[in-house]
Amino acid sequence: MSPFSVPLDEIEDCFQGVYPATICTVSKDGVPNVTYLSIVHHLDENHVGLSRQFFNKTIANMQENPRLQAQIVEPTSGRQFRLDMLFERTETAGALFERVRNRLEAVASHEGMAKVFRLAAVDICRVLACEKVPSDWDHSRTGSVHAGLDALDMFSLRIAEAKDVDELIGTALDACTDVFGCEHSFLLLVDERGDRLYTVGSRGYESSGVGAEVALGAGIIGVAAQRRQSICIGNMATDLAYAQAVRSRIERAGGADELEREIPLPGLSATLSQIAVPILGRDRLLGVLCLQSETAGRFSARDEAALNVAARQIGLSLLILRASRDIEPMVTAQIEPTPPAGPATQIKYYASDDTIFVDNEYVIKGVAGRVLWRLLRTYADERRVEFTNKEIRLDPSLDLPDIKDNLEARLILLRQRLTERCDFLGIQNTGRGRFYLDVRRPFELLEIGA
Amino acid sequence: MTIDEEMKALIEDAAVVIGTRDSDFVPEMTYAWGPRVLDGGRQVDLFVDRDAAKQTLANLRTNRQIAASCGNPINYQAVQLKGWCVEIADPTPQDEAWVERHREAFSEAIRARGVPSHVTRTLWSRYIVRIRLSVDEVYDQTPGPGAGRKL
Repeated sequence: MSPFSVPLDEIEDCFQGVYPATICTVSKDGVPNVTYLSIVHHLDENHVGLSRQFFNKTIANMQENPRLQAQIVEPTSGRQFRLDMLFERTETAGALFERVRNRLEAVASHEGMAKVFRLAAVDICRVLACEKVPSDWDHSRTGSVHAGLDALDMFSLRIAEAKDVDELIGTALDACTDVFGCEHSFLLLVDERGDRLYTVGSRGYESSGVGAEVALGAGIIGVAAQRRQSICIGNMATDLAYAQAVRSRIERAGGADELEREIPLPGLSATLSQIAVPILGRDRLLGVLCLQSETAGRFSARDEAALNVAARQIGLSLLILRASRDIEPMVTAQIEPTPPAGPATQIKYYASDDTIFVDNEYVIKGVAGRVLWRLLRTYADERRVEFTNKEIRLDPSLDLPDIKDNLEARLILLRQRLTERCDFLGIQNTGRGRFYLDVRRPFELLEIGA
Repeated sequence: MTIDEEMKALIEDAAVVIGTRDSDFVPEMTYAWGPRVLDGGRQVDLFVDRDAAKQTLANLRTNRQIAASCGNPINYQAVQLKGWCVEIADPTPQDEAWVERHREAFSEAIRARGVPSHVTRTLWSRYIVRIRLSVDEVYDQTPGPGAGRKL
């Protein structure tokens, strides 16, 4: 039973940082001070945490006079609540500090300000009272839909049925739409070196973005991956406006050298809510699941918890499917190759970076490019169209010592790039660990040396 | 301390939050609307919601001490005014029209930030009270390393 007229649990949406909170403190001389704060963190039944970067007067006042008040706004209704509080202590390390810091630094990194936009402390306050501010335009909160256990159950069931990595990724993204009701999502996997993420699938975007890369530690997705912690942004517009205000100030003060180039966010141009959830399998980072919305405050704390469970389920399924990758299929599809027809096209391969161009149009590079070149050469030499993942993985000419677990994901990426960029070449699964190179036009190969 | 023309423009377009305190130094805050710079920049009128600002008004009648944070809701440029409440009064019809214009402009501005009109409307009430603030000090409050500097 909460001691407050409005229990903090009932206004969870106010703690997403969709709209800035305000804080009022009073000095020992009785002078009030008011400041804005991007987010108040709900910690437990009667405690909140205030993230501190710049508001020096506020902490000075709290140390002199521990009484303070915060005002927070419910994003779906506009209802305001006042929290009367007592400052208890400051934390500059620990789990809570890290969680708050990761979120802040993700936004800072997104804005290219990782060097200057740092969390100084989290001030822990005990809530003495929580009351709704009177308004003559009062209506109860509008129903926001958040993930429940039943949704999680459905998601888990669908993921468990996936028979290979390709199906797992597609099912996970479809379930984000069907089960969690989020129409914009994409999934990235960690590359072979473990320092970049590459997009292997998406739903709900004009351009699929498959193949797009993000460095670990860069932007919201990169920070979520690097810190292995989900990062939920309730209102990108507010957070970025705040960050840009800081950026402008630093630029005016002649500190532009400390700023980095801005990293464009993949996905929607009008993203307001975003959640990036690391996909972990046992103790390893495997990828990131990212959901976006054009509605502010779309993802609640409950959504975040549900998506973390969902992402762990994806991670475990990835591990299981990768471990069983070389098991012979029970059923293998029978392929009847269609003879290539039409005018011959030229496929160019640049060995220096494994880039492939078809009729001078860029298709793919890197590991997936090297694999495609190997498939095309085999086809040209032997007219063979059926392959196994295992033969690719073990082929010494490919020099893929570190690829191991990632081959399936690279093949998925390759198949999707071919679907999007080349209308006469394709890769089709014919069973677990097997695939078929679909060639519908004759081609000539041209290798440009390293 | 007087407010120049550039700061006047910032204040009169700003979203405002007022901070006061009671005799035990317990803080109380409320939103304010329709900031209007007067008296050659020495005073500012602000309008608070009668019901939402009950404790604020009680505090001002007791000790008059006030802080007002005035921030642009789009670009976060902000100043904080500190001083004394010199008058509490009912609004005139002209005051009400002034506040109405400010609220409409505020609502329009933050709609671009994804805030729906019904949410904005919940932030205020119809019945308002005018308070007049005599400005002693102004502080820079734009987020960043220079925030808190006295102007």
